Amino acid sequence: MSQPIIHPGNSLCLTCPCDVRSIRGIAKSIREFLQTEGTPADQLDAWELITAEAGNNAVFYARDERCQLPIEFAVEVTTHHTELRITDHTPGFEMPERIEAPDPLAEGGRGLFLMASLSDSIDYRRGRHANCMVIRKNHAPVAAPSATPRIRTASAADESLEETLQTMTEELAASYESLSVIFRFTEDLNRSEVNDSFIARWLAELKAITLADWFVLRLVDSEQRQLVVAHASATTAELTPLPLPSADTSAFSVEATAAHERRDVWFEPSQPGLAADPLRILGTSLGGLAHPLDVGGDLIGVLTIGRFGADNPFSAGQVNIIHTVADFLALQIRNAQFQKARVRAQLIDREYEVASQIQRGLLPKSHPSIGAWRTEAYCQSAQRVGGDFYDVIPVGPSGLLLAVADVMGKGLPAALFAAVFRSLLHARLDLAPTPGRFLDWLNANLLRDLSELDMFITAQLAYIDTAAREVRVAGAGHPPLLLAGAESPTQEVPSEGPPLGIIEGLEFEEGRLPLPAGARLLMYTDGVSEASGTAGEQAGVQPLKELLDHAVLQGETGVQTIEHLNTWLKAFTNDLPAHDDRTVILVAEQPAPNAAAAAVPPTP
Amino acid sequence: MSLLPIPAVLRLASTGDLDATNSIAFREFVRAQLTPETAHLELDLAATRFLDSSGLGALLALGKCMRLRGGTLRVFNAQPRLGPAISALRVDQLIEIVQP
Repeated sequence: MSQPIIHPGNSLCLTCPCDVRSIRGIAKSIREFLQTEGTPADQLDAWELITAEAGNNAVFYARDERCQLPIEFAVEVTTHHTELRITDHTPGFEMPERIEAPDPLAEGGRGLFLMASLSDSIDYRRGRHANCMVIRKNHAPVAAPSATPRIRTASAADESLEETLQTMTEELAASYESLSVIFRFTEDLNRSEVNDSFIARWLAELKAITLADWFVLRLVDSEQRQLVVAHASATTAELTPLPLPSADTSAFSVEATAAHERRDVWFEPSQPGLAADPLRILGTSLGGLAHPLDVGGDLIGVLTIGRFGADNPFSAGQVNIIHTVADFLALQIRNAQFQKARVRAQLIDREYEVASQIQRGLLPKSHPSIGAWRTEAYCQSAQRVGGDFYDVIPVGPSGLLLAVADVMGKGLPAALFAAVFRSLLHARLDLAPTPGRFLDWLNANLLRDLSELDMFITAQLAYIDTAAREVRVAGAGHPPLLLAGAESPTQEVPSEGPPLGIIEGLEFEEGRLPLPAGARLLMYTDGVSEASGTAGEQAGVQPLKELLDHAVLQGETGVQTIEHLNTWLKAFTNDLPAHDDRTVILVAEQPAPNAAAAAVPPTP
Repeated sequence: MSLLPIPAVLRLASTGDLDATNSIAFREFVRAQLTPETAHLELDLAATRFLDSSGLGALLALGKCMRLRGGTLRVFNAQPRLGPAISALRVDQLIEIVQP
């Protein structure tokens, strides 16, 4: 509690911290003062109670940083009445038009009714940053008033009135200044972009308006880990980033405290711990306010602004302006960050769209047939741009090269390597009849680029010689090809070999198998054989073999078999999104109703 | 003749003011002293020189608690200084206040 200021007449002003224990002390002091003023004993009890209730009321409505602001009490005794004014800095409350008696069974909510019952009038003036409750009790008429006290009273009343007017004028001026700042800020915002220059300009303006000596604006970094100095009134080379969140109280920092507790932190030169505060490099005698920049619950940063020297605090009006500018700035900074992120996302979207178009362009536009040999294929990317690739290329009058590849990873890099793979594949179709040698050559040409990026490609090449009824297969880290025929169950054709891009000078083995009558060949990537079921189990190769057996038995077309495969995959995975790309090539020997119309002319 | 304690009556005496600084602690302390046998609670406020709305709220809460148990709360030795609070809120109509 502060030292009482007793005016020469009959008034008393006191301030106390915003807590109920201090209020009790104030109530006692006011009782003692009124006793010296000759207030009757029964009235003393009432005023002690009124003071306590009004003060407690202010404490209960205080929140956040406003708890740090003191409550002011002024009591004045005139010949006609005793008046108590309580000024608080809380958000205040809605004063009811009529103060009703509380519910007799309720445990709380009696304070206002008590005050009203014990006084003649209560006036509650609610302001943006301060509220004033004026409680008055008229004196009983006095038969022979004394002249002397009346003169003294008038003097004190005038003084109090002048003080009130001065406070009101200051509040009005601060409100006007705040409004003016908002208008200028908005006008500036319409003219210019929110960038470093805009922020620096407004911080300099704020420093000038509030007569501050210095400021530091820290912003939360993009990883949400640190508070980094973005702007400061002086060189801040030594102001290192502050970690977030900072619940560590061992290293005191007003900025970190404001950020962590999301409240204004006031400080003055004599404050314990300030000597170790990182801000100390700005000067030895710092006082001011650290204000968290919070937008919709998201911490943007902390603005700390202050003056040098003791006993030089900001006025309520100046604090009002600091809050206004800081909160406006926070909103604009957040908007600018959102805008930047949106543009970045649009650019990435566009890049992916281009990559996706490139990837779609790599796949064959149609699936060629040679004689009775028909092909069906598809590629489903797990992401917008996948790493799977396939191709079906007629070679000469009776040859068909089938290629399936899976570039490690997904997204843009995988799509780019798929493009490179396709270019190389089409560059040496002369190697198609010997897929093993073809893989040797592809490995040699991809090795350097893939090694540099620690990437690799699994691939499988199959060459179908329809004239010789033979298939030649070579693989690089790829699942086995499945071959089915009318006379025997589906068999796996292993094509073992490490993926492309890992080992230099490799010679890939090549398998040769005769093609049975009504043959079905299935090539696929591991996204199919390793599809996950609802219990996390992998699909495996067996269901694919059974599908092929069934296809041969039923004489299905390639389209029907692909449909059955998709239906089965959908049921097995419970139609959940795929984790990996899925690519399938199916070749079926199937006489066409009109073979001439279905055949696609082979490339020379 | 011998005198025996009456377990159904719990009598407690306050040692100071009853206000916003201690009303919750006071209420909880008194509640903790109640046993299943306690049918009547008697509070002696001889040492209480100040009682505000929070303190009155605590007394009313204890009165309600005793009523729910089928018992009573009686306040003894309420000082005249407590008169404004008690009469303004007509607490004497809700709790039995035994005048000294």
